[in-house]
Amino acid sequence: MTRGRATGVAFLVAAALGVGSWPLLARAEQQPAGASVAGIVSAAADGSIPVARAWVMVRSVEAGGIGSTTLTDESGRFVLDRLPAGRYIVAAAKAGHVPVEHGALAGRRGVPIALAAGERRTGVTLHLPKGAVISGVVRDGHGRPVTDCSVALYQRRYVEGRRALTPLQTLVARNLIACDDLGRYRVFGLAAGEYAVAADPGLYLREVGIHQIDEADIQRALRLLAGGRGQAGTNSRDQVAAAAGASDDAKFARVFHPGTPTANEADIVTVRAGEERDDIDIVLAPVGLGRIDGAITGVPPGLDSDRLRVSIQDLDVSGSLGVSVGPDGRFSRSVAAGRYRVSVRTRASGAESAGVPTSASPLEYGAAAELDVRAGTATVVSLPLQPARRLDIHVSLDDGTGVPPLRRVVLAVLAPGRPADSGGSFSVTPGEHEILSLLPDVYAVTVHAIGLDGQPGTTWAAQSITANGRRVGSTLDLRQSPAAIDVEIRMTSRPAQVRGRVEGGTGPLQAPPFIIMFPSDRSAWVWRSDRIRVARPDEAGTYVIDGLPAGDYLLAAVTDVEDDAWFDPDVLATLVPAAIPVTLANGDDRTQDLRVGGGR
Amino acid sequence: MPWLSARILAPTMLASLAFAAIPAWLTASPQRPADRPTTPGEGLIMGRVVDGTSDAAVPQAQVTLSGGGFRQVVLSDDKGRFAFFDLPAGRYAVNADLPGHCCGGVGQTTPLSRERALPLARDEKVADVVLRLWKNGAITGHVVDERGEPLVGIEVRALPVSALAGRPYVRGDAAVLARTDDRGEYRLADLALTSGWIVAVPSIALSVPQPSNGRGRSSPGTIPSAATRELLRWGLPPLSPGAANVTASGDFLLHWLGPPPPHVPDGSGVTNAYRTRFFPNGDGVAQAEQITLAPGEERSGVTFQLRPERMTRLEGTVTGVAGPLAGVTVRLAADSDAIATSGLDAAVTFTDQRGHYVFPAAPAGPMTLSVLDMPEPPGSGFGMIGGSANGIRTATLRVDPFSDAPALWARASVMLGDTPVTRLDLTARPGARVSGDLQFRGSRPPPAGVALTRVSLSVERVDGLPLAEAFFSEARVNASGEFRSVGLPPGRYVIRASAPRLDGWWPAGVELDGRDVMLHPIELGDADLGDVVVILSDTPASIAGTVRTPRGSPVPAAVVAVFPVNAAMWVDFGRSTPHFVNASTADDGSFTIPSLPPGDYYAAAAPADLTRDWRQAAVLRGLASTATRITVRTGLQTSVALTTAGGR
Repeated sequence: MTRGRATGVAFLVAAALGVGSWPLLARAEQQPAGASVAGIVSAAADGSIPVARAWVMVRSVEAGGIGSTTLTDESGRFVLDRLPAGRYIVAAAKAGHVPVEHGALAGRRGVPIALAAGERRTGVTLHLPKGAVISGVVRDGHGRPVTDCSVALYQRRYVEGRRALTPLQTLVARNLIACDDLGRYRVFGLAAGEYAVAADPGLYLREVGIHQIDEADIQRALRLLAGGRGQAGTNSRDQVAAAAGASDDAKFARVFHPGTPTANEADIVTVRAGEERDDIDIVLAPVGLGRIDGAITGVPPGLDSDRLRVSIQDLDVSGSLGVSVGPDGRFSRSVAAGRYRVSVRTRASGAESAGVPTSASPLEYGAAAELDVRAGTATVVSLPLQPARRLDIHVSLDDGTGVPPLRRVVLAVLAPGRPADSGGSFSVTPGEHEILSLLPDVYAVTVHAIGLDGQPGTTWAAQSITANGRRVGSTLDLRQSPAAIDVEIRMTSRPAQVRGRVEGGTGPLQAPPFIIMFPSDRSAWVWRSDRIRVARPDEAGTYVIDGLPAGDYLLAAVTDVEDDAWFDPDVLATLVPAAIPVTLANGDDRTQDLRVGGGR
Repeated sequence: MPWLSARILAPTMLASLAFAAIPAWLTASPQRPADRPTTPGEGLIMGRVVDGTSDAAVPQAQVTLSGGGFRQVVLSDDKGRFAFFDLPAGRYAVNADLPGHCCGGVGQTTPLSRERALPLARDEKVADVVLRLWKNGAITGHVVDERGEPLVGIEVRALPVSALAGRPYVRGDAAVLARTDDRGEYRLADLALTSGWIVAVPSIALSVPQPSNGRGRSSPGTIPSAATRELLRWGLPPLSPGAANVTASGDFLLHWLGPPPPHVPDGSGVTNAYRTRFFPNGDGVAQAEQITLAPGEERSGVTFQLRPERMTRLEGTVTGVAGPLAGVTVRLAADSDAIATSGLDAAVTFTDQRGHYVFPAAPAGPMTLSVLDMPEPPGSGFGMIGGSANGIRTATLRVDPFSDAPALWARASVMLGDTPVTRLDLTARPGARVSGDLQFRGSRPPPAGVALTRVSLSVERVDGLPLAEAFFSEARVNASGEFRSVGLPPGRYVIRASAPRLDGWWPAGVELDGRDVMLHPIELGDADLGDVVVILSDTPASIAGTVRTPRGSPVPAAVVAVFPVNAAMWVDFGRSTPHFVNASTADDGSFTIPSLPPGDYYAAAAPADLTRDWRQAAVLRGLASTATRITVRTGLQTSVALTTAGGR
């Protein structure tokens, strides 16, 4: 799955770049005659509207990367030949259209086409729909167009296990979605769906501390000109200085359509395939912000405040804000009204890194709090520092003896629903002790094996995890735990697998369904769990899910599901009534046929 | 180590050199100024910001007052009004700014006219300052293909036309970019009114050699750093085999920076593709229409219909002193001027490990092929990458003229047609170096040691163009007072010196065998040129003068232009302009020019709307007709009295 995900992202990036840079492959001249795949690219699902000069790319599932590239002819036809035998994702893209992979709806992962040596596959139809358009005008509070701004589109996506507005491909956004000199913007090539649209003020508008001339200033100047003494009212030096320092003033900030800085008050714009919305105007005027005033307490003597890293995360929008901490452990920042998580952490000195925590830069102290901020008010938050827990982790075989022959075991320790300021992914080498530092919190633990060849292993799975000798399920509660914890991960070389056929939901140009397998035990429905798995049937309608730890599972088939939604307990709950229970023991190879929507 | 920096597509470089005559009172101190005066006074400056065309009030404009070591900014009110209080006496610059608008300085009555300082006496109250803003222009149009279908997401560039070394110059480095939308429409906005513009749809084939390992996948580590640099300039992520944006197999990768071709080229490289077009329908800068814009004007209908042309394959080998040159950039441009002026090559590629280069899809016609292999210090590669306001990236190439590694140059012309050119081999030769030392002539003790490195030197092509794309800085002085240039290709050069941070010393000339080579070009061949002497004087030639009306009243803030009498020196005078000087008069109508090379000059009181591109023959002829002729000599201050209405 990791692999498929990585390449899926790769294709999206290629498509995003496509507007300005078209990677072409000059076909190798001395390749042996190989397999080929041919077909048509159409803007309509029934193949009736051919798309000329669309890019078609094949990507080998085994080799990764983009394998070969061509352009459709004037009839929308393409042929990609001289391909070695293997499984391929076939994808199409054209500027203004929504990039698509064969066997999937726009925005979803495709289903591989298996090519035998020398096979000539024909009749592949790629549905490349014309993108939708969202456009409008950004105006100030007086109705005048704002030219110093940029526009970004957001979609609700799963981020660290919660749904938050996530900006669309910033690479494209930077180039294409600037307000023009009439305040207009136009975003095209959009997949049908729901979007929030936000305008960001440019540097000119963001300039802080600029005094707005008002009537009092003018009257004062007129008195001075008339020979009187102008009272030092507004715009006296002190006032200008005060304006520069004021933090509760209305300010220019990111504003969502129609005109709110608060993400969960944004009007969501729904576009159908190919639809044009030209009325999505935004009022970009100074908005009343709230403020977070924080105090970090319990700072141990000798800990320099420079090492306190505070992150403010809007729980409704992905991304985080930084803020500097004063020597007294206090900090302050203006933010839009909304829900926030504020966290602080320190790492051992000399090993600061912006990336994932590693044992090279262990956490020392941290604290976090969630809060609601309202406009015009300061919300005070206290963050009492707590020392990190120290986990001594080692990996063994399922019988408790010996070391599994794996290059490494990747341990994902995440606090579900929280930003990634808690936990992370850690690599543990079998046979060695790895020390992790984690803040007191409740974590979901997921284990993935990496084989000696460096590839994700499906022949190994975690059999059990124990903390200080006590077996833990999928969650690890460190809130009341001792400071040092011994964690043992036992791996089994006899994971179970499930395979079968899926009926219904397939047909010409219809996307194959998603098979979702998840634990019966709801407490194991945690973000990124290794027990929650998704598969797509191949062209023959058969699916395989392998590398499963033993346990009680539920199996369901759905026609479409958003990426990562299968980790959402609310989504899984809707699947339970129609799901098929499957109990797996180590080494089981179970056959289970399915119907989309439920039943065997 | 005395590294030099040569900026790649650095918009500020030329700007700062070509328009060096900024009034001293406008140049800010290096530290951020305070927001209040150290000793407040009771002065007042009040005024309005208006639209220069309609006279309508402009609200929400940023009005900046600076001078006297402090700076204040306010936003104009709904009637465009602003006021600054408690000001001590002084000379102030007051400017209005609004995105998409120009000018806004005191005394600017047209977009071309110059701003002036606002003198404020003690406790004086000035109420009638009018700051005019003009909306910049816009150019709009469509880009469609040969079938009339919109080309979506295609870059369109507006390139400003200015003057360089007395000739028109298309500043590719200062281009404004736009992209077509899903309807093929583009809008190039915020175009300055002070220059003409030409519009182009660039199409550049960027190919990178890819040795195949025989299994359809290339081996890593074959992307030359030059290719990475080229991509970064285009705002694209670096190429690497297996990366998301790269197809890695076959014998090369091909990125089309511009409209994608109608068909994928086959292995022989023969294909149809679009080439760079200049509006209305030209292959090069020479055929382009120059568009000038009035304030707020929107020129619409600047539409391109691109038609694919047959491309051909061009390949060969680049050999240097020690054998094949690997990993060097090879550029192909439609004409030689386009290389330096428009920044729009037809194609760019890189030599492989055997020095072999391939242009899989080169456009037909007369082409210039060029190679520059500049020694880069080990480990540094290329430095800073930064974005600029116009979206064009900049990178810094670090070069050390004192390094013994040669700079290798090669250039060839080729006429491309239907037939592939399979063997156009280039031999890159070391450029000739210019070296010499400094000579101080004066009564003061001459500076020594590190202070000498404050003298900056440049060896400039007479046409002012960069030596190669991205490469301007060419010489450096060390602490022993010796200087040396990097290796330069054959051509005509002038040698320029400046010493702005060397107190009390001014460059008075550059001599070779007793001949002045600061103002008069030298012809450089293959041989190095030593014994060049840069003369610095503590008693430079200078000018002091006044500008008065015909009735004898002093004219404050008048512009004075000083330029050589010899009209042969009005073109091909290099990039810097020590002998073209302008100055502004003070309140009493006086002006001084503290240093300029000795010689015969015209001095003229110029019209207030003298453009920044005034150093060209058409303007100079006009100025000369009303100018006063003067001779300036080293160690002497020449006086001149000018009148505004012409005559003397």
